[in-house]
Order: sequence, then structure tokens, then C-alpha cells
Amino acid sequence: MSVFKEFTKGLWNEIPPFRLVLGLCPVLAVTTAAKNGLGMGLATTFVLVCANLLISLLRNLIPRKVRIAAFIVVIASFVVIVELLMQAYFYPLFKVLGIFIPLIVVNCIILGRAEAFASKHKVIPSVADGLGMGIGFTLSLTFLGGIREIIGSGTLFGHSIMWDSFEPFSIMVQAPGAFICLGLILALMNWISVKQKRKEIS
Amino acid sequence: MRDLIRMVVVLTAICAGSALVLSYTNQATQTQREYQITKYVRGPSVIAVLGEYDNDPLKDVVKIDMGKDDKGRSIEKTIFVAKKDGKPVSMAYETSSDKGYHGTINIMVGVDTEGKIEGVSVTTHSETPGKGDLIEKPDFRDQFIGLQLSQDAQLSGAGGKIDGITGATISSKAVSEAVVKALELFPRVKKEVMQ
Repeated sequence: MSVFKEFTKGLWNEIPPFRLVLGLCPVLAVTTAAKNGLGMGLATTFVLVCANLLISLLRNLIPRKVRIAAFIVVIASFVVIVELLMQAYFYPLFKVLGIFIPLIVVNCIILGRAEAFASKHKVIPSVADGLGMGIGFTLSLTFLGGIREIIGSGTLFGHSIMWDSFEPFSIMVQAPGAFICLGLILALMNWISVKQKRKEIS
Repeated sequence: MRDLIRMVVVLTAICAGSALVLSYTNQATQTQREYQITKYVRGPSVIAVLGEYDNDPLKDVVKIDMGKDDKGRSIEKTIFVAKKDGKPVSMAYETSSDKGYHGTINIMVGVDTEGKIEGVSVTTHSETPGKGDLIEKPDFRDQFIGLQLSQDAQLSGAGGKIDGITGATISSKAVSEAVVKALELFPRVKKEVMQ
């Protein structure tokens, strides 16, 4: 039961970019299209799950004083592995994401989960936590990327889906569009949870 | 004291493990990564300059040792070989000229086994937009198709068959120079490929 809970909390209650408002750099920068968001999300999920697994395994071995250094080495190694694999098998995506793949190292979700969760819990809950957070992050990025792609270029995953006379709002695929869109999603999510809470009270 | 030793040992072990895993991944993915770079960076121009074939010219490559550069590092030239029924029919390779209006112009040339040009495509250049960059257009570069003698690949002013671009003589000349280089290199390339 608790493993399941660790998994699902990342999907709604603590969904990283929208609830914890963590890891915003890739959220804002790479979500110009749904595909980029999905790719970035999957790369981050891989690192998150592997780092949580290994750190949870090593949690009793690592002395507290050097834990941050040890976590960063583990995380950085997995990021380099992802980078090499993407370059070898998904070159176009690797080109689009560019500098943001190495920057997964400093994504605060990953170090945050390692420090706050994996270093204090057993292996299975840690993997569940990493997987949940990763999938939540991936869904958020794909969702944001999808909205920006539909409004900003009239396509979704590269397929044209809008009517012929549709004029794309190109601001949505530029930087300001990311902020506007993220703000609206945050507002919507808060509105939904406030409504839910009111229902529970009354 | 014991704590200190433990810190050093644990951190060293983690770093060593990381180095081991990374060097292994690096080696394991090396050929595949090189292939991807060839495919997406040089691939489009290789395919543009070759005629008909039924293999993957990006995988059938021959490397030729071109001697050493100024700093003593050895230079390799990659030849992309197009085959039909297992026999080489044409080959593509890069040459360059540093006499462009703004530095070096790199071109990819496709040549059949007789030494006739099948296509020329400009891979990298930094010529003036709107003038010198017209060398990228088929109107200019398709003039080289079918040529075999390096004399013919000169501009018409120098006795060849190529009409330079008005207002971009230097850029046109540089491309022609690179094509001439490619034709002069051909006997050697052919020898290496046919082996």
C-alpha cells in the first residue's frame, strides 16, 4: 500500500513542476513541442529512478558529511550515460535538447529526491518514489509542451491538428509563452484543489 | 580520524565506480555515435551527390590516410562508397578550398567509377548571404555534373565550362578549385576503394 502511495504522490499531490514548482529550468526551456517535453521527461525519469535506487542501496555506507558530493557523483554519472545513449540512438532529439541534457545534473528534483527521500528509505519505496516523480515530471512537460505546440505552431507531436485558417500564436513557442502557460496551469491546479478542499469541509 | 578515512574511502570508491561505468559506456556507444553524427551532419549531402545505389553509403566507408597536418597529427579522409549488387558504382568525399570570400568552403563531391562527377554539394561555408551563398543553389553546382577533366571544372574565364555567379566570382572560383582538387584526388581514391 505504502509503495503505491509513494508512486502516486508524484502524479498529483506532489507533481514536481506544478505542485512543488521545482526543476523549472528545463520545464520552461525545452517545452516548445510535446516531443521535446516527452524526451526530456523520460531522460530525467531514467536518471531519477537509477539515482534513487543506487543512493538508497548505498545510504548506510555514505557518511553524512560527504553525502552531497557522493549524490552528485552518482547523479552526474547517470546523466552522462543518458547523454551518450541519446547521442547514439536519438540524435535529432539530442540536438534539440542540447545543453539541457547535461543540466539534468543540477535539476533540483533529482538531488532533492535523493536527499529528502532515497537517503532515508528502503530500495523499493525509493524506486517507486523516483518512478512516480519522474512520470509526473514527464507528464507535466509533455502537457505543457503539447499546449504550447498546439497554440504556437498548430501541431501536436509534429502532426497538423488545427483547422486550415488557424494562425499560430508564435509567442507561445517563445520564452514568454512558457511563463504565461505555466502560470495559467498553476492557477488552474490551485483552483481545482481549493474546490476539492471546500467540498471536504462542507 | 576513523570518520575521515571512511569519508575518503567511500568517496574514492564511488568515483572509481563511476569512472569505470562511464568509460565502458563511452566505448560501447562510440561507433554508433560516430555513425549518427555522419548520418545527420554529412549524410544529407552524401545522399545528394550520389546517383543510384542499393547499399548504405554511410556505413560502407573507406578511410584514406592523407599524411600529416602542420601540427603533426595525421589526417584521414572518409570516402563514402555507393554500391550496386555489391560492386562499387560511385563514391563521395569531401574537399575544401580556403580561397572563399570569407574563409574555407567545404564541398562534398560524388564521382562514379569512371571519374565523372555525379553531384556537388556545399557542406559548410560562410560566404555573403544573398551573393556568395548562391553557390549552394543547384543552378550553379549542377554545372559540374558529368565533368571528368579537371580543366573543364574551371570557370569559363580560365578556360573551363563553369559559368561563375555574377558578383560572387571569388566564391565561385573557390568551389571550382575544390572540385578540381576532388578530381585530381580521384585516381588515388579509386585505387583505395577498389582494393
